[in-house]
Amino acid sequence: MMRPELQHWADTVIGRTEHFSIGVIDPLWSQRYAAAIDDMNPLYFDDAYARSHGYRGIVAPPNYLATLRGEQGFGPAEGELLGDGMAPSARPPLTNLIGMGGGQTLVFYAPAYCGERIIGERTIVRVSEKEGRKGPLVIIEDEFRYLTEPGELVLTLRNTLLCQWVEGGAS
Amino acid sequence: MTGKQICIEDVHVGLVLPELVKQPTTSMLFRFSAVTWNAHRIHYDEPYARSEGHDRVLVQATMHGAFLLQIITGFAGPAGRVTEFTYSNRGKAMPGDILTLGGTVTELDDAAAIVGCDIWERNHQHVICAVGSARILLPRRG
Repeated sequence: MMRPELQHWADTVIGRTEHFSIGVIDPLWSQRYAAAIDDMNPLYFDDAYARSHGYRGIVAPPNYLATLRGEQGFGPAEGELLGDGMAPSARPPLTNLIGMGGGQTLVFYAPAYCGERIIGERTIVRVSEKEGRKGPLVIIEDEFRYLTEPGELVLTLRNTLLCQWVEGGAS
Repeated sequence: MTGKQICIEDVHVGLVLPELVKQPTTSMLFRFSAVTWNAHRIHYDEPYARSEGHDRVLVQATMHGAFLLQIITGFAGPAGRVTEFTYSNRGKAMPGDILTLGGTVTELDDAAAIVGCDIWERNHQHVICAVGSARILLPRRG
């Protein structure tokens, strides 16, 4: 049983598909991602190495696209960020929620090649509320599809966001 | 990563994956937040993280996922392909924690050359931070 304000938000967003553009997978950014997690796999850096193992060229780390879960732009202005620093689009527009990642499921259909232009779709498929160890917990599950511009499916992602409902928390 | 390529013939159910040790640092958290354009303050703003009840800034949930995927791609080798990957965050980690990742082969479909693995990540106090599973398409020898 969800509280009414959450149920109202869920009713307006569940099942609606949002289309967004990732743009071209820039090797600079995918390689920065690999460097940030200290994964210097030559498939991500060395074109000849990647080609010698059956790829058409340098690929992005498999879960790189899954970090891009919306239109890629400059993002909200500083004054538009929520109190916890998150973008307003990241979670329900309700006060006193603290967000955290809960897990992901990825199905890889094709490598994500650097230089490829990618488009995405996001659908919120489930919103629920349960009693967690530290109080009420809102669970938001989104499904994403990432395709090349010609329409080849590259990746599907199911993302789980957990939001702790707290008194006097982030707004 | 550039070493010997594992092939489907080399794998059996119960095979233990080579462990991977990661020690996230504050610079790793900073660069991960920057490159993913994630301004969530619990990852870089210690006073804010304390206000949410954490001792220090936290390793990103998706960084735990990236580490789990790294042990799988390392095991698969350059000619292997990860086809499915799922994980669930179970506990938090902080910069300086020593995270050990491991896994076991749980499924082998020789005809399809597909291997299934269960994987885990635990901290130096043996507390599980994340668990998951993956399926990998491996090459055949020769």
